[in-house]
Amino acid sequence: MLFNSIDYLIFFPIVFLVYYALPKRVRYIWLLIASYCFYMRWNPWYIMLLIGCTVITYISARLIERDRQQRGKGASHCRRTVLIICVLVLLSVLGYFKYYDFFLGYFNKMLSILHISPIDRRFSVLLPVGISFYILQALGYVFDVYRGETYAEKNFLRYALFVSFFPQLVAGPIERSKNLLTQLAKPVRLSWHDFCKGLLLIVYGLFCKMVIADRIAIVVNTVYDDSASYPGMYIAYAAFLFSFQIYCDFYGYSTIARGSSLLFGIKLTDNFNAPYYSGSVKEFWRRWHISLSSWFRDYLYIPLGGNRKGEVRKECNLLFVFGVSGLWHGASVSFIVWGFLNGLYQVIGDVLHKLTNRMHQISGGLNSGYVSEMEQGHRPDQRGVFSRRLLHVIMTFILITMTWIFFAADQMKAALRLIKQLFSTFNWEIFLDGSVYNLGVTKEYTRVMFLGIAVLMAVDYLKYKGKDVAELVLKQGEWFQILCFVSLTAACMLFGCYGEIYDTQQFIYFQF
Amino acid sequence: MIHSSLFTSNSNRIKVHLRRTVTVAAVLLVLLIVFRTFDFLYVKEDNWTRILWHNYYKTENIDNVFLGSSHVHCDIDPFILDEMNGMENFNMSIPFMRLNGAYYVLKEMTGDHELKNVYLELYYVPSTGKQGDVMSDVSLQWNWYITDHMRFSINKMQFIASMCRKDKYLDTLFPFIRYREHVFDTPYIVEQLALKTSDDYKNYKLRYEDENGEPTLEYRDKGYHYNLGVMPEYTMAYFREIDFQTEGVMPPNTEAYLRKIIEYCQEKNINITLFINPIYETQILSTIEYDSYHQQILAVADEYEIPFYDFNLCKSEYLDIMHRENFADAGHLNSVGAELFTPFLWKVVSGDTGTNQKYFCESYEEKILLDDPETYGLYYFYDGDMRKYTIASNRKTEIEYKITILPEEGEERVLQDFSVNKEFELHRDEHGMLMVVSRLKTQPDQQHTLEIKY
Repeated sequence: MLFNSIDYLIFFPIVFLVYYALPKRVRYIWLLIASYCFYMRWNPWYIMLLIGCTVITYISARLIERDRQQRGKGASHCRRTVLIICVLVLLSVLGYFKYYDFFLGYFNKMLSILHISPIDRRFSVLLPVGISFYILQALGYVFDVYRGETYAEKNFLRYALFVSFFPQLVAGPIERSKNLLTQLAKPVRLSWHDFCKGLLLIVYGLFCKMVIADRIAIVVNTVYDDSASYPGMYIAYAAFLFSFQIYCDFYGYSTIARGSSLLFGIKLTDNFNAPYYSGSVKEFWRRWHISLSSWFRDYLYIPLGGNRKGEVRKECNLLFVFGVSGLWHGASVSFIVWGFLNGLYQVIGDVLHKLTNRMHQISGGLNSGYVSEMEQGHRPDQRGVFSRRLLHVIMTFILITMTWIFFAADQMKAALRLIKQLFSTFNWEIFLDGSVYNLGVTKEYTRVMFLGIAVLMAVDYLKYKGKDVAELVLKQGEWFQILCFVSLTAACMLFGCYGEIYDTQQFIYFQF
Repeated sequence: MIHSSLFTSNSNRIKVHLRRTVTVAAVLLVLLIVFRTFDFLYVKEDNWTRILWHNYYKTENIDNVFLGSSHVHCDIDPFILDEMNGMENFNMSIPFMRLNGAYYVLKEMTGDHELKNVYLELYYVPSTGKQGDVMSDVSLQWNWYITDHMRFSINKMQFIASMCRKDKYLDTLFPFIRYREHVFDTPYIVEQLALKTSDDYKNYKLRYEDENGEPTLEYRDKGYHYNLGVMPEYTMAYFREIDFQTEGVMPPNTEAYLRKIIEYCQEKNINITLFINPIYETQILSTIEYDSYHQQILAVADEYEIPFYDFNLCKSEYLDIMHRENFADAGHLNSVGAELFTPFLWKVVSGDTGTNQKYFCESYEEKILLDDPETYGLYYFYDGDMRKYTIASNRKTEIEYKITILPEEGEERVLQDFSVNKEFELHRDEHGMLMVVSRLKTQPDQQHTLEIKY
């Protein structure tokens, strides 16, 4: 069930109204039922996987906690065994469903090199939607219990809801038990303020998805699907737009999730914090898909040693974590390259940062180097001038945009072809002679698209400045709130991509 | 910032609640205004239906309703009926109205009026084959003629919920969504604005006049479509609804609505009569399997013990209407025809069922054999690049035809000299005039000529 579908438009109000019609003590059960129904709309059989994952992690966490209570806080062989088994089982499930075809393909290639007959692909494994998200969330919970950072939930149904809470089930944010589970355990009364904010977030999320992301998708698909016909600046234009498509798509989803959740009185983590205002790739990853970045930091990067075991190890850890992050996104070499590239940017950034700092120390000059500041992600009011910061932001945007080419392409070959085509010609005139309007989006809709991007960037600028825009709107008079809500709704209905004349796009992150 | 619970009903906070209620109402009101504005700018309305609904809502105390497709508003003159029965008659007829539409329109009417009699017209096209599937996209488009104008009610919401798939709810609830391809189409918007700001539009007026200022086509009250147009002889080639032939019966979901209408009327103690208006022979002959449709409705009518009159099976000695001059086109009577048909219709529907039997044949097959031999025109269908024609006449072998074509380009040529063969084909891109000369085998000197555009 997509958030921008009529099903959700019917489903959500029913769940909402029944939720508040029920006594408080049973509301979470209703949410659990709703979440399972929500998930089963894709493939009813895969609910077993979700339940299985829930049962395994629930039992594991309970065993770990019981062991701690019996043996005290010290290291325990038993706890570690339970944790390892739990992790192995869940990663095996993830590996089977997500990477079976991928690894089998490569394995068969190796066999063919050795002149051994390949393993027959008797069936194709259908990827259960959201599996990467809920497995990470459940694993994070077990890790937290293992570390003693959170309690093991005794109420199985409540824990099941933590794993399957429908607003964030299929594409995050990947919640920590400390945040979500505690809120589920102590439901709060819905305030008028949260009600208004929730609705506002939902319409803004829909605006990002339907008015911006899905419109951009038309251009991007046109160019990327036929890159031979659209070389040079067409690719550059599509790559530029894809940066906003993926942002609006994912940010739109996350915002709708936050809004929906808030209507049940539950505050989800904000997954994005004005990422395209980042002054460095490192800063970008602090602002983009925050829940995933922090998950990898806390449960992979730090356990690997983080930055505590020397510079070389730190950079290796960084590369490894980003490689895994790429693989987590999809079973394709292009995703792994995308991940490594992001890691590599940061490694190079670190090296350059040190070099410039050293040069700075030697010269004793006042000006810090470009990369140094870029890596620090300082704001212009803190260090440097606005123009320098702007340059850093633009440079970061270009670097990130280049990586998105690997992300957008299904296969490595396709990504390389796109890059080759990008540099094949410098046909800048397409921006002047109207050729860009022949990519499936008319001149008028292109204007709407860019106006949408302008709104997004304006909102993000305020966010970058530390202001919560929804809160700002809600602090204004009622008429201003009404104006914002109605304008966004009307824009979605008039300019949004939905219905028969458009091929409604699934959220990109649903595939992960 | 207010942090109190949304769902607490505390008398001390009545002002806060009132303010919130006003805010929610204001949001809904502003949204409504915005959507109505979009409707005004973008929705291309069917003027007839708009005026009909407007007229309906201001009409009081309707006693008899004639429910059905455009055949009702063209063929039945309610003013004649008013004079004949002294009651308030109304043609609630919407182009190609499906039976699910008819059901909900009827429910709407019973909410507004104390109906005494319902006369349900069952033109075969909207009820049979793919067209007749009430859940098809084609049916949905015609049902929008109802939902776009029907006032908001639970009945309307039930209709919307039942008539379309979920993915069509928004298109149905907010008509402007269907016209979003015109969002930036300035000439289109200007055209709509010009139309919707015209006096005729604002005054719900639909009238075309001849050079003397006399109306040739006009919406008259009570859902009556006054029309003096006559079916030109050269247009008497009728495009055959090919799916009727293959699926010439009502689909189950359509028949279910027929039953629902009957049961609803019986439950409300409203008399219901089923009938089919006369259509020109060319069209009815094109259906080939017309009798199967007739039999299906007859079976339902018999089951519920209600009258059913098919005026296409009416003997010419009682209703001599099958002349081109009485028709505006192959499906609709003009006002001359309506003046002729309406009194007879009332005579039948208000008469005794047993007595009425003498007016009608058992089948269409039987009926055409009772009439004098005649050639009415042509019907055709497309088969690849070819247009396949059949001569519409009421005899199989007794009439001979000579077919000559006069193409727009090229010379006249005879396709067939006098022969009983009725079928021939022409390329779909070829256009001109067709001349069909028919004669009885037994009377070769008496020839009848039809000139038909192709």
